[in-house]
Amino acid sequence: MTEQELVRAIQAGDRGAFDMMVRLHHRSVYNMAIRFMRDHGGADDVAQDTFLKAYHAIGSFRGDSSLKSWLLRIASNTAKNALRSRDRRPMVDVADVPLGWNHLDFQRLEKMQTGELLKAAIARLSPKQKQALELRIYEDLSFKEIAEIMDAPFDTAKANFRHAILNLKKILESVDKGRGFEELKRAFESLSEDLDNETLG
Amino acid sequence: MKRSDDPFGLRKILADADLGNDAGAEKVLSELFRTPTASVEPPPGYENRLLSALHDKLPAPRAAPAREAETGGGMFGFLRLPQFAWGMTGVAMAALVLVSVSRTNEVSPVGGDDILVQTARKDPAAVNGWLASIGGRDRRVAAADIDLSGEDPENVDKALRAVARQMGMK
Repeated sequence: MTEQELVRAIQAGDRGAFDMMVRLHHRSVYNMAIRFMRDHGGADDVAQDTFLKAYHAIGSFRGDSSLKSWLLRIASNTAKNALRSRDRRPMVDVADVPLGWNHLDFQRLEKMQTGELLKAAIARLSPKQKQALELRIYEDLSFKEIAEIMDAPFDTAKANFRHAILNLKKILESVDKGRGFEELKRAFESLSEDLDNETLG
Repeated sequence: MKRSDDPFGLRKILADADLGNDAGAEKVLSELFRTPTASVEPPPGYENRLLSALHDKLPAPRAAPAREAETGGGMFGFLRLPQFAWGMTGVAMAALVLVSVSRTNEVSPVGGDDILVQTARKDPAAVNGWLASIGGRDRRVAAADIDLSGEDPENVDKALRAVARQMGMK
C-alpha cells in the first residue's frame, strides 16, 4: 500500500489504515515528543494528542509534504503547547534521558570515546541546531520538511544543521589533533554560546 | 555517483548543506551514523498501549443502522440512503476481493468460521475499506495479522455473501 493509498483509506474512515499509520510513525512521533517533554508520560500524552489531531485533520492532508513530516509538525506544535501550559523549559537534551547527562562532568571528557563525546556534544547543542540535526540525520527529512516542522525559513533550517555539524567538527578536531583537555573543554563551552543566543520559537 | 559509493547518503547530506568538500564534516556524519545518539526507543509494548489508548479516545466507528427503521419513503426509498451508496461500494470491493482471490487457485487451510479473516489476509485494504463502508470493522479481522495467504474462492464467495446479507442485500 502506498502512502497515498494509506491516506485515502484513513480519510475514508478505515480504522485499520489509521492503526497502520500509528504503527509506521509512532517511533518518530515519540522521539520528537520526548525531545521536548523530557519524560515518558509527557511524551506519551503528546504522541496520543498528535495522532488524535491527525485523525481529525486527515481530511485536510493534501500530500504536499510526506505523512511523516506532517505528523512531526503536529507533534512539534503539540509539544510546544504542552510545554507552555506546563511552563517548563522546552527542548531538553535527548541524550540526557537515558544517560543522565544533566551536568556534564568536564573531567570525564578526556576518558570518552568518540561516540560518547559526540553524544555529550549533541546534548549541549542549541535546541534548534539539535532539532535540525536530528531530523536530518535520524528522521531522514529534507530541509524543506525540517523548515516546515520548525516553522522556520528553509535557509534557517539549513543553517541550523550546518552550525550543528560544524560545532561537532570542532569537538572531533580537538581530539584528533591532540590539542589537549583545555582545547576540548573550550570547544564544549563554545556550544553553550549558541544556546545562550537562541530562544525557542 | 553510484549508490554503492555512498551507501548512507552522507555525501548527499553534506552537499545539500553546502558542506560537500568538508572532510571534517564528513567525518562527523560518519561517526553520527555509527553512533545513533539521538534516538530514544519507546518502552517495550508501547506501540500496542498507544493504539489501545487511541482506540479508547477515538469516536466509535459508524454502526450499521437498522435499515427498516430508516428507509421509509416507499418501495425505493432506500435508494436515497447514504448507506445504500456505501453498500454498493462494498459490493465493488467484494468483487475486487473475489477477482484477487480467484487468481490464486489455492485451497483454504481452514474452515468456514474464519473466512472473513482469511479474506482480510488476502486483501486487507479491500476488506477493511469494505467493512468500513458498512459501518465498522470486524473484530476478527482487526485481530488478524495482515499477512495474506492462499484462500479458496468458494469460501471467499461465501464470506462476501454473508456480509452482503448482513448489509441487507441479496
